[in-house]
Amino acid sequence: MKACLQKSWLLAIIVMAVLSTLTSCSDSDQYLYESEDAVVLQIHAEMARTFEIDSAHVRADTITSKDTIVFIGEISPNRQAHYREYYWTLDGGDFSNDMNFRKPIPKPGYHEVCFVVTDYFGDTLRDTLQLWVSNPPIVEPQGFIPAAGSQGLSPKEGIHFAWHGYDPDSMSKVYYKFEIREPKGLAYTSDLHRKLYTSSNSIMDTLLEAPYFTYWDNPHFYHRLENLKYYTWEVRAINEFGLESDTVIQGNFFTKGSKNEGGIQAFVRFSNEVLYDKYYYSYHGRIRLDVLDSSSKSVIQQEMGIDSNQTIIAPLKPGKYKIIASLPKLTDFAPDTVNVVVQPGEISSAYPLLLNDTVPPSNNYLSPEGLLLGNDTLDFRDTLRFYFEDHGGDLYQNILWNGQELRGYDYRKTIYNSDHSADTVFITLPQSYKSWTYQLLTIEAYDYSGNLNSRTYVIKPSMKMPEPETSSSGSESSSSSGGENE
Amino acid sequence: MDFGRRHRIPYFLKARLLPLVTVSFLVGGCLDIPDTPEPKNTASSVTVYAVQTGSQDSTNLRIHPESPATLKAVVDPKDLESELDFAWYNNILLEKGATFKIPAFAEEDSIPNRLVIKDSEGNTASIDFKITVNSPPTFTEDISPAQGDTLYGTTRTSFAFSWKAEDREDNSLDYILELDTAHYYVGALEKIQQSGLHPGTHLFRVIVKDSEGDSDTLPIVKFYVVDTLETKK
Repeated sequence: MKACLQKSWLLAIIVMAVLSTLTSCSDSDQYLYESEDAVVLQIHAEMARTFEIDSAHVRADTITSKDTIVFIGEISPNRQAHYREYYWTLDGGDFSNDMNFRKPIPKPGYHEVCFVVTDYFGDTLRDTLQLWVSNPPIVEPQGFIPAAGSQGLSPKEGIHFAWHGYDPDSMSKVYYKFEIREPKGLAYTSDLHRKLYTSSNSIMDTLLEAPYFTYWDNPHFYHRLENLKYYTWEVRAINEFGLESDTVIQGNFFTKGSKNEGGIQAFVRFSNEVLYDKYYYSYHGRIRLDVLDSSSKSVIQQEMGIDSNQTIIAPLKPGKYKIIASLPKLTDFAPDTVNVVVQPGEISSAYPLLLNDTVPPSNNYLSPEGLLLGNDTLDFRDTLRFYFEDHGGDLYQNILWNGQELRGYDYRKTIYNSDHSADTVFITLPQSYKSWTYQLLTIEAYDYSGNLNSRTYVIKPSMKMPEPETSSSGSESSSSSGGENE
Repeated sequence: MDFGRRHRIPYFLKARLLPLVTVSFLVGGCLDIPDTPEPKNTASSVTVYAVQTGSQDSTNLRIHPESPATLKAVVDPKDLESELDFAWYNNILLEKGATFKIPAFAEEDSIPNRLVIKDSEGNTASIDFKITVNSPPTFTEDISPAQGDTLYGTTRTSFAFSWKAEDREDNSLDYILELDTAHYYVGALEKIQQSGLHPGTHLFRVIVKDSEGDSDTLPIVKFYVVDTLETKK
């Protein structure tokens, strides 16, 4: 009996020891709610077009079905805060389990993208983004009214325009930006690459709710369509989300003349395309168009700017005409002639006139006294002056020293004369170019029609050869070097 | 005799089985279990159709006012139709029966907009609907160029095309112009000028559609273009 009691006590002690050990190891205190330790979780959802830092972050946007959007979820104070899970929903359905991700939403319409976080206590936090997905509206660039080049449209009788435009999603209202313009000429970019759009005066600019329009002449309009003129028109579609159609309708038409009147649309081009960009009205003047009838009698003389590529000559009686185009201030451009037949009530398009410059520039040495010298052998000087002359627009030059291009702006300075028909180029030769042998200075002058004048000048030795040391006397004088300018 | 022994029930079983059997008999005798009910058919749907000039329409419920039409309640399954009562309403009861006849040029308030269905046990269900009465637009005679006309000009000449359609309900009209193989959506325009017509025979037709979707088509017009420049040569 005593032994039994001892065993029971021993068992009780062991059990107590185990329990106390287990209790001491437990960190359950940490899981007790302490209001001081509680951290309020905050979540924030945003979207951007790219992951780049400078990409704007927004909470509502309109995208196309081809776009992909970056969705960004943020949990503060930081991501190590206690939370159970996070995920994204699209219109209530599954979307992503990533914190940040990139995805398209191809289905057109309104969408809600929700960032959902369940915190440690099971509370759900949500932040919702709004997205409108829309495809750009469509305008068919073909099959419109009036067809390009239509003649004889009367502003007073109404000019009717119609085209096919629609919203591919059948979701958004489509508006049409309609413009009528009177073209003036070609426009160019600053880097001289030719562009085929025209600078023009806006006659009408309006926003329409339907894909058709009628222009009715109104004496109260500030800008009105006139008879026997050439106009262009353009339509772009824009939907309610501000998305613009990828395609643009571009048409043109001619307005009507009377039965006994017609006109000519004359196009003028140059062999020197840079002339459009480097055009200075006061220097280069204007294109002159002489219109002669079938008996070679002058009917009309008309001018157009060099920056224009087309003009309308009207009114003219129906019949055969000859147009002569010339550029009086730039005489290197040879005049060109074209024959045209004028139809009653219509504007006839003439074959393009080409003003072609085949005359190369001239190039001569200009002495310090200001005399044009014809010689090719020159003394070495700090500054040499050369006079270039051309009557086909501006020039550019290449300077070669013994066949190598003389680089650096410091070596050259160009001064134009009053009408830009001639340049005086100052070339500064560095002292290091002095030599005891003959040197070659080649000057190439180009005009922008591609005509070249290349002339090579011989520069005399500017240093004396050191004399052989025959005696000790006189060695000091022979060692000094220098040209005639020193 | 072993017979009696073999069927002797032990006492402990007697003590448990006897009350159980007694209660079972009592409960069984008290239960009045009804017969299995006969399967009863229920209508899965009732659809209202508008029938006019042989065509049947249940989606748009559209009729033309010029000719009489019939509204028809179609029950699925069909054999239940005879067991149901139908009543056609437009605020007030207009008529009873599975069909309702609409005369030509009927007044709007004489055309039902509600069907009430009642079964033999007094259960009711109703269907609200709207009958659209719309006349298709019709072209007038003002059309240019007329059949067989000859137009003179060049491919750059803008030739005038004009037409006109009317709509009894004054709905907005949209036109589609078919010129040879080209289709032009011209909206509400009733006149356009178009160029690009080469010398020879050309075909021209206009389709008009009102805002209710009813349409009309002009017969194809054949006209000719003669090049004035060619003839002068």
